[in-house]
Amino acid sequence: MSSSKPSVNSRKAKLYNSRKIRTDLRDPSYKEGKLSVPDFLSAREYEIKSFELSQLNSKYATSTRCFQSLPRTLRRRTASHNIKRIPKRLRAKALREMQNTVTGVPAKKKHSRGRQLYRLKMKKKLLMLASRIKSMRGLPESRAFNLDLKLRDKLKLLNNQIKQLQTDKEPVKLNNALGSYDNTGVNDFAPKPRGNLKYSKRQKDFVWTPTHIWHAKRFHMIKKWGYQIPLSPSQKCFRSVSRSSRNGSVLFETSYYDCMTVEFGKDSDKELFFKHITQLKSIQKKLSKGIVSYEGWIYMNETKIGKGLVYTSDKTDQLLLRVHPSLFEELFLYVKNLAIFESSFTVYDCRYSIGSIEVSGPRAVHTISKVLHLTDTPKDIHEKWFKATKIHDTNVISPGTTFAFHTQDPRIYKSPIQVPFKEDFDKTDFVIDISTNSSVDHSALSSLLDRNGRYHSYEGQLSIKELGKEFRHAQVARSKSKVPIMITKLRDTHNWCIICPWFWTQPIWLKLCQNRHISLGGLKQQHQLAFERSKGFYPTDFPFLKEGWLENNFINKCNQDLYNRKQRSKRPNYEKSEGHISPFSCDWEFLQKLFYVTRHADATELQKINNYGSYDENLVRSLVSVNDAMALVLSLKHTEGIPIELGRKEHLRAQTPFANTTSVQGTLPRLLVRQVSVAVIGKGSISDFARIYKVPEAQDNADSPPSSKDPVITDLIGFVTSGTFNITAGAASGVGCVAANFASDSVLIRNVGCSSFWPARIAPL
Amino acid sequence: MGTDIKTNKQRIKGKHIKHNPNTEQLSKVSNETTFLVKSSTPFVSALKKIQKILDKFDKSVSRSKKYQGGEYKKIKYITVKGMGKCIDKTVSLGLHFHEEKQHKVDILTGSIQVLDEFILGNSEEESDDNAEYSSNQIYKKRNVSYVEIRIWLEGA
Repeated sequence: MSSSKPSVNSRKAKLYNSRKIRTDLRDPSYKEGKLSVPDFLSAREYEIKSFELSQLNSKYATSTRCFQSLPRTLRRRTASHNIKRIPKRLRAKALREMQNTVTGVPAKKKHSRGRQLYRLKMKKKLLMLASRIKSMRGLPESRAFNLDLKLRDKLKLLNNQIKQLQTDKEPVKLNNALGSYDNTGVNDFAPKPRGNLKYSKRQKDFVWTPTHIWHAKRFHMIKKWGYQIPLSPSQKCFRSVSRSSRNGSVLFETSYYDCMTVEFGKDSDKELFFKHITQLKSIQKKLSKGIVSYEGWIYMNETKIGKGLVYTSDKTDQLLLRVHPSLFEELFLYVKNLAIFESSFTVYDCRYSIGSIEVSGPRAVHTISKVLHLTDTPKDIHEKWFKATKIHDTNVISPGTTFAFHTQDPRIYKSPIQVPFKEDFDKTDFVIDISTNSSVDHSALSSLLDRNGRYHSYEGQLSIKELGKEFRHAQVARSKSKVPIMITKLRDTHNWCIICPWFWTQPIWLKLCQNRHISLGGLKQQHQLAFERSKGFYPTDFPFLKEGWLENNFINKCNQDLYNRKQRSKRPNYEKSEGHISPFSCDWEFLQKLFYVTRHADATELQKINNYGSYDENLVRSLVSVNDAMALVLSLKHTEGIPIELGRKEHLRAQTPFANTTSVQGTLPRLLVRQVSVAVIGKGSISDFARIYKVPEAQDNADSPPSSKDPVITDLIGFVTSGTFNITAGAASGVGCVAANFASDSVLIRNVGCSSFWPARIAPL
Repeated sequence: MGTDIKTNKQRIKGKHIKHNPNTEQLSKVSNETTFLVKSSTPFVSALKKIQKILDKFDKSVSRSKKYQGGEYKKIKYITVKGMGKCIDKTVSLGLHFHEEKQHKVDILTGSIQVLDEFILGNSEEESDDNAEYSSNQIYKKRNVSYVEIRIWLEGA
């Protein structure tokens, strides 16, 4: 990336301008060959002053601070006054620039006084007490976090706790100096993690992921689904992320994805549950043995609620379920109250005790392997892992492939290193081997899924201080910790997902970020990469699910507000191009009503010329022209709830786009849709919410005007949920939904506010 | 790329996924100096693309110092590879640079192992979405011949 240094020419010009001295050429003091000095001086006063000024000007005109010459990725927001934000090699220079020119010492900061100072002092005291408790291996009382106590009361509370800890009344809860603990809910929701007492108030409603502080400095964050989630990096990254997804690796922190584990007494119950939640007719051996993981639709009461990851193995009685946070609470309650099992079962809420990181791109395994150092792993799994790091093709290793092993504390290696494996091996044999044999160390797996196992993994977790000591004293740094880790390849995104205990996520993440040639992404980048692969991104591209429907409504409202805030003269005239369809998002309700109205009439037979409405003897409007259809659509009541539904295989290409045509209690039946990817043929552009029309049949009568070849509003069959120029394909593309009974693959696309139609091709996702 | 599996007498019925033989990560330099010919690559666009790469690393014209020194110093030729069905096209690309552009051209031949994946469908039972989890997959190895063209840079 080029630094934004001004070009040489502009800097030269600036310097030249600053050296220009204005002169006064008239000279009245010079008379008859004599110079009157006081007159001369007073006349030259202006010149002398401007000369002095120009000296100063030329001194400061091109002066830049040293951090301004840094590449963009190394610049920090507070670099102008915080020396630690500048690379070490530039610090001496920066310090010189920072100093006050008069005295040579930096200006003193004003400190707060009075009430403010008192509050700061008290806060400091509170933190000292909290860290004291932590060092005594206790957790600060939950009341200090949850209740709205005054500062003094909180201090009292913590002081009491210290006394109790000193008299051994309270059992020791922590097994490490870092304050890591396992926060699992048994048959109930887990309490929200407390975090540092200093920042506890800010994470009350929206939980911080383990890497929150790291991300908050570098990313735009968004509060959603009970978490603070990284949205996108604050630096420009659109092209670089796309590029490294093709030949490097992209990291995403996805600890906000929620996990639960279900423990069964009987193996048959586990299989029954697996079948129930995924609606698979039979569980294949590769799934039940834990060779591959399941990533696909999750069902609740036999209806799809969203996609998720399910993993189990024959040597553990646990089953791991990882879903999007918008689905979790509902699903947890549903699983807890399932009554289909023979023996008892326990559901653990591991939302705040299992974290995850996703790595995308062909170098993903390679990147991960440079950071994770396996320990106590069976030799064959060790070797398989090493071999997997040598394969740099996203498609070769089959999705679902799962590894599980123990690793060392990633921090005891100062920088990422290549795996010590240089053997030549047959790659095709390896791919066959890995897809048929398990690469899971079951002891690691069960300690990852078990709450005691996770608790033990934190034993002796080194703090930064202890780690520094370790580096100073020992020749080779050592740590007692054994971290259980599971790595699985996801099906839709082809991302490799690292699943690890919550408090190990941050150390792994920090080490992963030390790798060279990586990109970092947030929610927006996940959406971008899904779009570039022509895959749907939850929730935006799933408008038939609850969360997607809410998202669509939310976008609609936002865009409408933006529109209303504009001056009347600056607002685009949507009425002309869009008619009665909402221009601010995908108007699924309109589509549903349109299909309901026209389900019996053949759209091609509707007259396009504006006639007067015709009524039958009961004064019911008859469907003759397009205008009649529109009038009927507008007369229908507002639909409550989601107007569309994902069609099943047997519904697709049926005669009618509705599963049940009879309306229930006055509401319209849901329109069945299917997900498609859209790509333009030749020229054209696609934007979000673009409308998909079917190609009107060629009209034979020659006297019809040429514009009649354009589709009319009754030809509308769907919308594009996310569409833009796809830089991997080099053409516009999109992801959207069309009515399920539309069988052809060629369509016409029209963007919001435009009148031109682009021919495009659709394909099932 | 031939679709028939000649070694097997019976043809396997099922979805056929052909895997890329290039599973190894190339170094930065070899990534920039290799051009792979696909069956869908148009001849003229391949010509243009190769010419662009040749111009980029041309030693005789000091256009940009970036691609002359450092790790790029050792580049002497660029590689064009094609396998199976595209051997024809690849060789004609090489000959074009040999005859018309007067480059020194080497032609190497060889064979490479590729992996075929067959997904045997019994997707009748399951709904569309879960077809992957109800079907079996078979892997088969196959040898494909390839041709590698080295087009030497002028002045190298």
